[in-house]
Amino acid sequence: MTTVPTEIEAVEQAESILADLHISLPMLTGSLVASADGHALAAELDEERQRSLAAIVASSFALGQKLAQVGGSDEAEEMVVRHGKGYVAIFAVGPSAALVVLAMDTINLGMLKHRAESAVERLGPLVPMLARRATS
Amino acid sequence: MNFTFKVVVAGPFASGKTTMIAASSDDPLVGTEAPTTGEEAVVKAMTTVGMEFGTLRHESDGLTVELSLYGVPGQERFSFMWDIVSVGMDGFFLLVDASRPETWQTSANIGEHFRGQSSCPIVVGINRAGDDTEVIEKVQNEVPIPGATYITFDVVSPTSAQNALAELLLLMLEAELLGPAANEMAA
Repeated sequence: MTTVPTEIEAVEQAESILADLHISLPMLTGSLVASADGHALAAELDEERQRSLAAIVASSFALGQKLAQVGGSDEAEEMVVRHGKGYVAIFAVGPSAALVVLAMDTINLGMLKHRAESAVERLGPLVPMLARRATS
Repeated sequence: MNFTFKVVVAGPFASGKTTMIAASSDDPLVGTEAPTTGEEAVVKAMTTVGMEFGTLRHESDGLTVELSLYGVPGQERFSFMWDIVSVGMDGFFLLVDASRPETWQTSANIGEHFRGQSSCPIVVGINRAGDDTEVIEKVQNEVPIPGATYITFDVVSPTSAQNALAELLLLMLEAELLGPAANEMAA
């Protein structure tokens, strides 16, 4: 039997999913779940970077959706930015949230995607409750 | 003569930016809206999180003008988009919601931010003014933007929205045709 988590339990569960992700991928330097309207819902990241990152992820992924439409699809599933020191990757968590991970350049990108996708599956059901708490 | 101008439309959350661009654009609006959460969800269901784009064309007496209309999110947390989108703007349109004076300070802050980015012409459009005949004076005091032109209009009306943009267009044409001299006079 599954029970609906309270708002605080949802945050704890989301943070433990992110913690698991960091354990399985030691090359991660940060991760965050952002609502589509730019609020941080859960994070493994220092607090002062959370607010700005959540907004940047929301804007970028919204533009990513536009690129997906250019490509002929309705929904963007992931966006990867490769930069001089590694990767920033964004994965859709349903229609109203996204997971962003910051990774060092030595990470195996295939492994990163694989692990991130299973985190996304676990995070999905928590999003409605996380969104309620994030802005209250 | 042909002119193409880049216009940025900004203003507080729920001041009418998306509605204005949708009402004045000749083409369907290209937008980036996401569902709101928390206290913003009480005000409205969707909000712009990236940018939006529309185009307004005007042709008369051998003059062809195209306005590229860029809308940006109103919330401070998205202010990085203001800087991205404002690069190369020819005109700036600031929205003020007459019916919510508590948002006027935010309008003033946004206007100040963009004024610092560019010396381009600015129109302050006062939306939802209703019958308040003194609202322009009040807004001029509360939202003082150096060199700006203040008008009242109604974002939901395509005619009104296009007329408001025509005000900005005239200022941009003047700046374009008179060149640096016009900027010096305005300064």
